Amino acid sequence: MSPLLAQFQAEASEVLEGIALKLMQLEKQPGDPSLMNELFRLVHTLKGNSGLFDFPEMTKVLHAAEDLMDSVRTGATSQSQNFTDQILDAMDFVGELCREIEAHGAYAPNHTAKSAQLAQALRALISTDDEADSNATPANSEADSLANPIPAELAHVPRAVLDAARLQVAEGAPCFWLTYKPDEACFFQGDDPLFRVRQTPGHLWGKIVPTAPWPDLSALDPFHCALAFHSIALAPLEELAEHFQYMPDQVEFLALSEAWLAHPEGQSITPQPGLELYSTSQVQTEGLSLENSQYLAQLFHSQRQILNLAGDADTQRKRFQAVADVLSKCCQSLGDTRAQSRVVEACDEALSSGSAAPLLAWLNDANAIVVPKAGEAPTPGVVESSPSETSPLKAQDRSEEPSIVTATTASGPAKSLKVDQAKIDRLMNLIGELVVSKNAIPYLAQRAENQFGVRELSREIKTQYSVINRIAEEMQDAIMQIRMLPVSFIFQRFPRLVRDISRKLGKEVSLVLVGEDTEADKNIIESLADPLIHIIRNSLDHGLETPEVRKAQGKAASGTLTISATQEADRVLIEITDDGKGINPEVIKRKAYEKGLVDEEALARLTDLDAIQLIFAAGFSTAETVSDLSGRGVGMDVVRSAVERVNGTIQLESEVGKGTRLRISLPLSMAVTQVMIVESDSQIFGIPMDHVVETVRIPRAAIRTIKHSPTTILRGRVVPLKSLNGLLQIAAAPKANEQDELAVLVVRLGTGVVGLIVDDFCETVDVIQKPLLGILSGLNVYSGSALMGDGSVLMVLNLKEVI
Amino acid sequence: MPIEYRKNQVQFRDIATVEEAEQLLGWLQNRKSPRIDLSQCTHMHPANLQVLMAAKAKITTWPADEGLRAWLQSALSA
Repeated sequence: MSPLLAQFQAEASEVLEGIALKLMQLEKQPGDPSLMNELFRLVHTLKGNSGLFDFPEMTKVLHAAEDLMDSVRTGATSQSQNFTDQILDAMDFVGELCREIEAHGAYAPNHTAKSAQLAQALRALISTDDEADSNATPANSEADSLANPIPAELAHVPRAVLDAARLQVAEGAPCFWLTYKPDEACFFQGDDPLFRVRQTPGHLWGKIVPTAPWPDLSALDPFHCALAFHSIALAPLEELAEHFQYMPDQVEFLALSEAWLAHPEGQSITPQPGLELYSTSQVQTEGLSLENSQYLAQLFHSQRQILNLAGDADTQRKRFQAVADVLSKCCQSLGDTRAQSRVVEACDEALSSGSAAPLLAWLNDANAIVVPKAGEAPTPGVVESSPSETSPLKAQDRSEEPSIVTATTASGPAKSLKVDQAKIDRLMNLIGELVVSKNAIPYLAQRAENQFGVRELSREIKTQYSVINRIAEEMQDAIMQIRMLPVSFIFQRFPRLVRDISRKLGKEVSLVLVGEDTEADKNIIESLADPLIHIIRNSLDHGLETPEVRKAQGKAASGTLTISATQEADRVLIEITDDGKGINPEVIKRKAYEKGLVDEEALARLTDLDAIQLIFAAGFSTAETVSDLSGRGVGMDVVRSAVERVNGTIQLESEVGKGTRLRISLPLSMAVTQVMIVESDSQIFGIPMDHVVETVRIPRAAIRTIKHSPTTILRGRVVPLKSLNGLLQIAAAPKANEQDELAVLVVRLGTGVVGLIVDDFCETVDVIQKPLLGILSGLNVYSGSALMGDGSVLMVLNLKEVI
Repeated sequence: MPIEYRKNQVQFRDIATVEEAEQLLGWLQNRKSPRIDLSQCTHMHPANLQVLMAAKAKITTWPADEGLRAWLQSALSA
């Protein structure tokens, strides 16, 4: 794979995740322009990147998605549930292709049909909405082009020109209205828009208008193109398109029909409400969709607020300028130049008088027309979810979708550097070795003093050591920081997951994510992804009830699934809480017994809390039917072993009818392990501190033998004792101290405790544990080895295997 | 020189290129009611046109070139 493709891969997966996230947020806040823009930008980036390679299928789908988004962004197409679904489908497809590319360097050629189908589905969304629009405007059946708004400028074209054009059109000549808005920076590209329009084939009439009111001469930038060109040309569309082929996005063509040319000023007898307005009052808005006119009303409202703000004269003047600018742009986009010129007048007046009154007056006049009257609005209140007016079914879908609440907002993109993980790992290993080898220096100092008798040198070595020690610790800390990832890395997949599953199950779920910026080591975070997905599936499938059941029980129809991450000392705590039906210990007990996981005797002794922990037992699954979501009996035991692999613990609490809470506690980092060193038969062993409960010395007399195994009673609890020598098959009896007491290390294993009889306890140390390699890797009793400061090797015991 | 500047009059000749716009802008800023003679002008880069439009300059003589005159009149004779 070429480096470029590898980078594309890395970026694509990131962008795809970003898209999914933004889509979910957008569903929560439909029509949010900043989200929409962000989404558009992501899709646009991905499309652009994919175009660098020969992936036509991918580019095609992305291009269609981009077009759809653009149309939604500009308000031409409404954002519907269907929109989210289609885009998600398309992105899934792209993700699939990416995975194939990752595996084989290219994807199989059989995707063309799927790609075409997806692209078509996306484009269908654009066109259906267009149809809806054209239905809304009273269209003249003889010309499709009437669905487009009639250019306002047409009213200013001299009668003679129109008549000439009409004669030509009547004879069958093509006639187009042309609007050319050159790019603002086009002068710098050596363009001469005026020259271009002068050369327009079939040019009949033209007009140049400013795109904004002119600023003061001193503020004018002559090289910043602020002109727009209108023109009527009697030429076929192809010829015109060819003439403007280098600026297709800056030119619009509109076929002019005879009817328009005959009655551009609206004295027409044929009902064309769009036209009547040219001769009427302030701002023409009737051609607008309800949505757009609401935007306009909002816009006008905020301008009024701005004008009503207090401030010194200079600020006010700038405000007047800004408001006039906005209003004039509004008029311009409505195509109403007369209103626009009045804005300019009002602005001049306001500037000279220093009072906002002229502009406010303009707004008052305009507002009466712009604000949609409640009675006239076809479906008031549905603007945000406009598709619902066409299909009640969709509206229902909407109510069933999960609502997603993101408690903390993601921070903006920071400058980052992409580094291969192997390089970081190597750096970390080197620092680990540095930390260990630095620990040899105190021994050296001691030797210098004791063996060679040079105290001064010993002191100097120690001083140097403290410096190196400080730097090494800081380095270790820094490298840990590099490896830290926020949990949002995996949390961000959940909204999509929850949405998909809950829709499939017909449940209403609102997902609450808390503490997404909590950080932990990359390996820990990554190892969490699969278990968490499994837990969420379980919660949704078995935990949360359907809306009907919930309502019957007096709960809110929509269930809540909370996933929170917090940092507690050197551990990360992840809690998954649902307010579903909880786990019934009786059901669990019965199931466990049926499956032969516990015998009758044990069953009777089980507390409710212990009973529900049985769901972590291998081969346990309570689902009545196997669904494709969960219930294959490979569930929670896999979750537990995945968590335990990274030295984590998992706890389950549940209350019937109220809900379930799973707490996963994980170390922040796996790099450094705290171990306790114990001595047995003159050898030292390391035992992970996670397992150590306490160290006690027990008189030999307090040890009793029950069923041939030694036990003792510790604070009213029976603790079975095992000799470490015996477990490791070392033929030596445990040594006792002078008071004939045995050293017992009480360790936790699963939910029980065991006392390990050793010869002596030593200190606890932080070590960097290395897995056993080669022939030693078969030794399961050791979880790894670590190098001590004096150069000796410490074997770390894997207690689960030993006992 | 495509544009000749006099005391209170400016005369366009042949083609006014984009480079002229800055000087034209500077000149217009200090004039109350300048006279603008476009009779000899055959083409004008829109940067110059913008300056004339923004200055609301009065055109004393329109270009002889009919095509150009129509376009310029649409912008300047408002």
